[in-house]
Amino acid sequence: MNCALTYLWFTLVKRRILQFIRGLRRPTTLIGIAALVFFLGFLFLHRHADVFAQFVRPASLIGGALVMLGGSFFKGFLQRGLVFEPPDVEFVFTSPFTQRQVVFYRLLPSYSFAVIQGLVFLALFASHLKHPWMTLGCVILFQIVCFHLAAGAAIFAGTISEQAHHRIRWMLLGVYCVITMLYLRTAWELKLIPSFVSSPLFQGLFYPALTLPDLAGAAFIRDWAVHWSRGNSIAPYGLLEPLLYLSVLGIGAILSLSLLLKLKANIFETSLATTARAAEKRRRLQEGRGVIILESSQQRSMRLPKAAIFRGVGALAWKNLVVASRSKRQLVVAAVFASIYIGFIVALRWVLHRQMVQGGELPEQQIREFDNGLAGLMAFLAFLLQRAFPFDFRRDGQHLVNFRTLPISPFALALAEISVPVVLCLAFQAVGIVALMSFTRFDWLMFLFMLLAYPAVALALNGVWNIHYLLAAARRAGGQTESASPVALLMVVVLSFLVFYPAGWSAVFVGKHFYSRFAEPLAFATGLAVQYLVDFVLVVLLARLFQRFEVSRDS
Amino acid sequence: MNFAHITAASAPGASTSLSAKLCNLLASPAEVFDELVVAPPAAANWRTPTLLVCLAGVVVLHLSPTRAPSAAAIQHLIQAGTISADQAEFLAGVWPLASGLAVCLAAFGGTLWAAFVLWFMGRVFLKARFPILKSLEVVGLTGIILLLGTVVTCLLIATTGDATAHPSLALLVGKLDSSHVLRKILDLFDVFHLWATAVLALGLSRLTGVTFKEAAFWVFGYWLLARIALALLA
Repeated sequence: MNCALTYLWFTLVKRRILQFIRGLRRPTTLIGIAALVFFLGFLFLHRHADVFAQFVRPASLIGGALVMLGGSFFKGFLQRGLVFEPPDVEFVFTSPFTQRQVVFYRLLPSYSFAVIQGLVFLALFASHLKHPWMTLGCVILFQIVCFHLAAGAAIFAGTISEQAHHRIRWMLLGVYCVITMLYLRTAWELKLIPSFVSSPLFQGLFYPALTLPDLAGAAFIRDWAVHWSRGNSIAPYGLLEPLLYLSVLGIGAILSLSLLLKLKANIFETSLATTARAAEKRRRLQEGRGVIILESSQQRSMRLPKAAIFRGVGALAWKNLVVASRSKRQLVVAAVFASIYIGFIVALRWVLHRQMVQGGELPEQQIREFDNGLAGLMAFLAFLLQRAFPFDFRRDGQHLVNFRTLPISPFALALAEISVPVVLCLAFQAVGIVALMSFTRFDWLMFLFMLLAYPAVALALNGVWNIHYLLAAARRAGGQTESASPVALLMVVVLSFLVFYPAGWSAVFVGKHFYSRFAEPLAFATGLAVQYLVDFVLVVLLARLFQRFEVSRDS
Repeated sequence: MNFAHITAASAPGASTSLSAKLCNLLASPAEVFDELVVAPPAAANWRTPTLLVCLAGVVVLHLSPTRAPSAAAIQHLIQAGTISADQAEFLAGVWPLASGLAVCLAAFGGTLWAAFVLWFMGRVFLKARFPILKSLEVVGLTGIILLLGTVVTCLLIATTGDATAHPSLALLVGKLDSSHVLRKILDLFDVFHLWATAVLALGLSRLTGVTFKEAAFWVFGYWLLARIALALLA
């Protein structure tokens, strides 16, 4: 190995590590790395578990080795040539290095990777190995062999023609398929091939390399003859009718296709408008704005009510209420969904009620806890309904620029935006509680708790999701049309659960440290207070984000 | 794609008769396929040999005494209550008919299937375009080897008295049970099976324009190795 290349490699590794550390400032990278570290830590903590011993069984190790060998060779073969960094091509290739030195330089990162992976293997499986250090050496060397194999396959694949590469690729896949089935059969006694494929009848698939008398003497033929002689239909196993239906439908499919293809109309002109409509619909759905169904009749304008609550910033809430009242389809869908969920909860209580009527006995305390659990399930309805009411920043995201010109405080605007979905969620929950109360009686404390907790939950959920909608709307207004990444969505989902952690933790803390009869009400009160504080912080955050939103019409 | 060597077909040349093709296929298949590749499609090239295979199969079934359902087997079915005496009489007549029908269905169905497999190999694995009718002709003509194999197998059965005898490596192991895995695998090395497979590989190589080795990898892979794998794994 050339010293200059070693130095270059070392410097590049150092730079990559620094870049990696700097990259951790990005939340998505940090979360990804944290998840990986957490996963590895979890594995390390449980490394003495029996399941780890299963991974170092000879059968598992052979399977892993086969996968690594086959995978390395195939990956290298698909590459068709070694992959270098673009600057390497520019500088290393033009420098006075031999081919061997360049290949070795290319393999150096793989060697370090093999060592790191070997150490991880040792850390996780050392307690299940007889000779851990010897195994570590073997694992590292085996990985190095795999890297050599991949590099060799890549170099070889680069020298053959495109056509030969294509053919050999299929050959490799065929061989791997057979090896996989053989391995699974011998190592794990897993039969992927059913036994009937060895019957003479199945040999018909290998025509003309078959023996006709064997086929004629198959058990299937004998059964068919017996079936026939017993006065049944000529089709074996009653297959005549299904075959007839299948044939008729098959002919129908072919005929309809031929008729369709014979149509002379110009599909391009008629498809233009339809395609545009479908694309617009898809775009609106991706942006979370829902699909607007244009009514044939003109929508009548609605007057602003005289109530003071709908004046000023309240007019926004009124506007969203009007939009909600006109979005009948979405309300009906939400109502159907909520009624299924509420019906399930009420049915649970009804079953308990029936059992009690039939003589079942349950202590009062347990019945109360069961009812409280059902009330908790009803609170969860807000999680499910939140997405069904897009009468917030989802629809108003396109009006952000206009909202900025209104003489209203950002806090009030944020509160007005999330008010309609919150009210709708609470309305459905109220219906659920009323239905539940036909079989149960909540005590005053629980009733008060529900009265205060449900708005807190709905407010928190809508606050979290609206932060996401507001950021997405700001991005769209800034000209970025791509939808939110799955990681971002995952973060929002996680956050919509985490916002309840402080309240839950504080309630449990207070409940554990007070032993008087006021412990429970005090715990509830603490939890509610903390939750409302979190809600306030969320709305303030939403307002701050709206305040910081800057966009010019030219952007 | 190497479609040119087939579409150039229209070039008129001295074409041999079907009977000559069938005879030549046994002696010099390469010449037959060379002629087939450049000739326009002819349905007789696959229909006639397949009908001959059907005919040979039915005739052999009727002539071979070991293949007929024995009276003991029918008696066993009566005793088991599976069929009545009248039905047994009917069964004695139906069984050979069912066997004959099965042979004919297998011959036509097998020809179509093998043609599809051959065409698929050429189209997907070897990236060559050729009409499926051509592969149908190759498979149909190769059926003549099956016909010969059927006759030889029946003669062998008549000579040895063993209903499971085949002109294969299994002859070397004597009276090994027919359900034994080794016997099943040795049975796959039937002279006529190998011959037919090699001729199919030759046909595929001529249709696609690839080397015999490359075509043989896929044809033997399916018609021989896949069968061995199935015998081992099933």
